[in-house]
Amino acid sequence: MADATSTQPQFDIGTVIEGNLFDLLGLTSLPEEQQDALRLTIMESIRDRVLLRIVKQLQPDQETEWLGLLDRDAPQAELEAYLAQAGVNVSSLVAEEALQYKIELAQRLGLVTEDA
Amino acid sequence: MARRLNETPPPGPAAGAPPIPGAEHIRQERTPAERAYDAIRELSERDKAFVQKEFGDGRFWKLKAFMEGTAWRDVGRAENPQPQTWLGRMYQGLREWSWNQGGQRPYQAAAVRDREMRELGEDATFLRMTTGTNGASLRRWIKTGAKIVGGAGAMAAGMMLTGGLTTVIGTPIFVAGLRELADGGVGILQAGWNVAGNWLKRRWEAQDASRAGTPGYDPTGRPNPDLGSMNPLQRSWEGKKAFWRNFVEKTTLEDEGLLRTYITNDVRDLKRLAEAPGLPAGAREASIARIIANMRENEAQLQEIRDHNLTVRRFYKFGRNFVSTIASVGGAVLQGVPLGFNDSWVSQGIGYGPGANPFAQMLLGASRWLGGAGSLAYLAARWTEFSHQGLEQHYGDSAKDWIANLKPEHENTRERVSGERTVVEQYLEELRDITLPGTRNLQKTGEYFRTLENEAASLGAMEPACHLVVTITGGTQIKEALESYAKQKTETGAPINWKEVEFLIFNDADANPAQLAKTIASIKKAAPSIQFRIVNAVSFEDGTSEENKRSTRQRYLDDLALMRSIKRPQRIQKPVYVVNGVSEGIHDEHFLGSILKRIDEKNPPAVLTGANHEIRGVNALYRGFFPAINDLENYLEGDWTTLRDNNYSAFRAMNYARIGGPRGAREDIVQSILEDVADTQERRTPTVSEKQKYLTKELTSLYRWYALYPSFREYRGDKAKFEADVLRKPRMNAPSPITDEQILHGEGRASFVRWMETGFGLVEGTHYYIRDNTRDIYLNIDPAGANWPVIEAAFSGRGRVK
Repeated sequence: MADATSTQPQFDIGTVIEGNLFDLLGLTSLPEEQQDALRLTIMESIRDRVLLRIVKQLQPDQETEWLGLLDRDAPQAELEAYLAQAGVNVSSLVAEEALQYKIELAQRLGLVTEDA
Repeated sequence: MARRLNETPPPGPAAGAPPIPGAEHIRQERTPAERAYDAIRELSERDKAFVQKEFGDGRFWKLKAFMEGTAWRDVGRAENPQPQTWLGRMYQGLREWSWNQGGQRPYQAAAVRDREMRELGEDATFLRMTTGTNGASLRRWIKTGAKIVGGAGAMAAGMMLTGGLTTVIGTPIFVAGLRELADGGVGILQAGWNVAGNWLKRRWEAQDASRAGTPGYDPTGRPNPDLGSMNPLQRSWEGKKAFWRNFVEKTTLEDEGLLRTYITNDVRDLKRLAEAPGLPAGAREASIARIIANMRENEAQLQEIRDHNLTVRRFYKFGRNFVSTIASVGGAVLQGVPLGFNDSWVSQGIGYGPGANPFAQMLLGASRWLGGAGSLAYLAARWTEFSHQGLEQHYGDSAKDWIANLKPEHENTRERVSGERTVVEQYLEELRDITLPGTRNLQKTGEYFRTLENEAASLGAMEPACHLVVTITGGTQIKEALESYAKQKTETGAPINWKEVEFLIFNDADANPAQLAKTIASIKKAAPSIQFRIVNAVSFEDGTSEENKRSTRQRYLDDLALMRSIKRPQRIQKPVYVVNGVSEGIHDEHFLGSILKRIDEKNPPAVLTGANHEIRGVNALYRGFFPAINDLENYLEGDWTTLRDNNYSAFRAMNYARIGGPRGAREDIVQSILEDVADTQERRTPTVSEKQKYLTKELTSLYRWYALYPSFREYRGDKAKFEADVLRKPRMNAPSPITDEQILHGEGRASFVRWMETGFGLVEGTHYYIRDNTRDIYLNIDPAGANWPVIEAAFSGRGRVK
C-alpha cells in the first residue's frame, strides 16, 4: 500500500476497525520514528476531540465550574473527580473518539468500500 | 509532542528537492502514504483549531496538560511501555490493540472491541459511529438487518426490522424518522451505518455458519425458532409462546447477575494478563484467547437475557402507546380537529347540517382522517422515543454496573503499574493473613509466612542464576548424600555450574548439626562454589510419625525455596524447580545434570502443565501445583468425602501459584491453574444434585475472585467496615446469627480466608452471607444431616433468597 502508485485499496469497515491503522494507510514502510510521530499526532487529535466532548457533556453551570477549577490550576485529581461526579466518563469518550477518528480517517482517504 | 512531529519530514522527496527529470508527472499525485500523512496532519490542525477557538490559548494549554496527565508524552514510547496515568494507559491500549494489532492476533481485536463497547455502555454487538448523516444509506442499511443503538430515528428503523410490529407502525415511524432527518438529522442513520451494518451482517453470517448444526440452531446456523437463543421477536409464534412461558416461569435476573460476575471476572483476568509485564508472549496470548472465548460465551448468554428483558419493555411500551394511539386517533376523529382547519371557520364558511356544502363535508372528513394520521405519526414517534429511552436506560444501567464492578481492578492496576512493587510482593502482604492448616503450631495469622520471610532473609540472597533447589529434610546418611551430590556432573561429563543449584538442608537433631557443619566444610574445600543453606529448625505438630514429620518439613522447605526465589532482586527467566533431595545417597552421578538439562529444554516455562511431569521421571518433584490441581479436580468431580483432606492442598496450590515460580511466569501459573479448574468444571458431569452443581459454580467463582483479586486488603484492621460491606447479618429466615467465633475471627482478610477454608470444611448449621460486587451469596450449611451445603445467590436489592 505504500508504493508510489496512486491506486487506492479499499477495505470493508470490519477491516478498518480491526486492522492495523498504519497497514491500512500504507505507512508501515515509514521509519519507526516517523510512525511514532504520526501516532502522537493522531493522539493529539483524539485528545482535542475528547476535550470538546467533555465540555459538551457538562451542563453550562458545570462547565463554568470545571473551567474555573482549571483556571485556578486545581490538581489533576480534583479535575478528574469533578468530571467523574458530573457523570463524564473520559475513558469512554477516549475510546469512542479513537474509534471514530479511525473510521473518519479511513473514509476521508476513501479506504472504505462503498458497497461494503 | 507536536514539535517533535514538525521535526520529522513528511514521506516522499524532501521539500525543495529538484524534480527527477522526466518524472515530474509522477509527483502530480500524492502516494497513498503521503495522502494519509496529509490527512492526519489536516485533521490534527483542524481539531486543534477547534479546541483553541473554543477555549482560547490559555485554557487550551491547561486542558492539554490535564489530558496529558503526567505521562502522556511518553505514551507508546519504547522507554516507557507502561504509561503511568489512566489516560495514558487508555491510549496505550488503543495503540496496542486497536491500531497495532493485525490479523495474527484477532482475539486482541475482539478484546478491544469488547472493551470499547463495554466502556461505551453498549452491548458488544452494537456499534455507534457518528460521523455524519447519510440518508441515502437508509435502505441499504435496513437490508442488512443490523441491530442498532442510536438516536430515536435509528431505533425506529431498527424496530422495523425486529418483526411483529412493522406492519402496524412501520410507516409512521419511518415518517417520524424522516422528520428527524429533516430537523437536523438527529440520528436516523449516522454515517458509517451502511457499511457497519453490512459488516455486522457478515459477522453474524459467519457466526451462523459456525453454529450450524449445534444445539439451538438449525443446519444453516440460523436459530431454531423454538429453541434458538436470539431475539424472541424473530422466532416463530410457537417459539414466542415458549419464550413467554419460560419467562414467566423463570426469572432471568439471577442468571444475569451470575453472568455479569463471570464476565466481569473475565474482563479483570483479561486486563491483568494484558497489562502484566514480563509474561511470555505465547502464554499471555493463549490465556487471553481462552478468556475471551469464555467471555464471549457468557456474553452471548447475557445478551439473550437482555433481549428477553428488552422484549418485555418493548411490548409493555408498545401496548401502552398503542392504546394511546388508538385513543388519540379516535379522539381526533370524534372531536373533529383536523390539521389546518378550524371548526368555527368550517361551520361559518362551509356550513354544517342539512344543506351544507357536500364538498366541504368531504373536506372535513378528509381533514379528520389526516388529523388522525398525524396524531398516529406523532404518537408513533413518541413511542420510539420512549422505547429508545428505555433502551438507553437499560444499557446505561448495565454499563454503570459494569464500570462499578471494574473499579477495584482499575485501582489495583493503577497501584501495580505506578508502584515499584510487583504483584507477588503485594500478594505477600495478603498471604501473611492466610492460615495454613498443615502447620498447626504456626497457624496464627501470618506467622507462617513471616517465618518464611525471615528465614529466607537470614539465609542470604539466592543466586540470580539458581533455578534448582535440592531440599533435604534430614536423615542419618546426610553426609553420604551431600558428598554424592558434590560429585555430580552434567550429562556430558562437565562439572555442574553450582550457581544454578542450591541445597536447603533442614537442621535438626537428626541431621547431627556438628557433623553436618564438618561435612559441608569438607565439601566446600573441594568445591567452594557449591551452595549449602542450613535452615533453622522449626517445630511442627502435624504428626508424630517419621513420615509425617518429613512430609511437613518438606513442605516447609518447598515454601522456603519459593520464597527465596521471589525475594531475589533480579527477575529470573527460568523456573525454579524444587527437588526432593534424598538423603540416602545418590548413585547416578548425572542426577542433577539431567534435571538441569530438562529444565533448559522446558525453558521458558510457558505452560506448566503436563509436559513438565516428565521431570518427575528423574525423581524431581514440582511440588504443590499438580497434586493440588488433581485434588481440586477430585473435589469438582464430586468426590466430597475427600474434600476435607484435600482442601489444604487446593488452597496451598493457589498460594504457591501466587508466590511461587519465576516472577515472569507467576500470572501464567495462576491462569494455568484457574483454567485447569475451569476445564474441570466444564468437563464435570453433574450427577449428585443441582445443589452440588450450584455450589461448584459458586465456589469456583469465589475461588477465582479470591485468588486473583485481593481487594479485601482494604478491610484489614477495619472489622466494622468489613462486616458492613462484606458480611451481612442473617436475614429473617436464617436461624442463627453470625458470631465472631464463626466468621469474624480476626481481621477482615483473614476472616474471609477462614470462611473460604471453613466453607470447604463446611460447618454444619451455620449460615453465612458473603457479598461481592454484584450479589449476596447465601450459604446455608444444612444442619439436617445432609452433607451438601446449599449456596444460593440473592441479588443485591432484589431481596430474593430461595
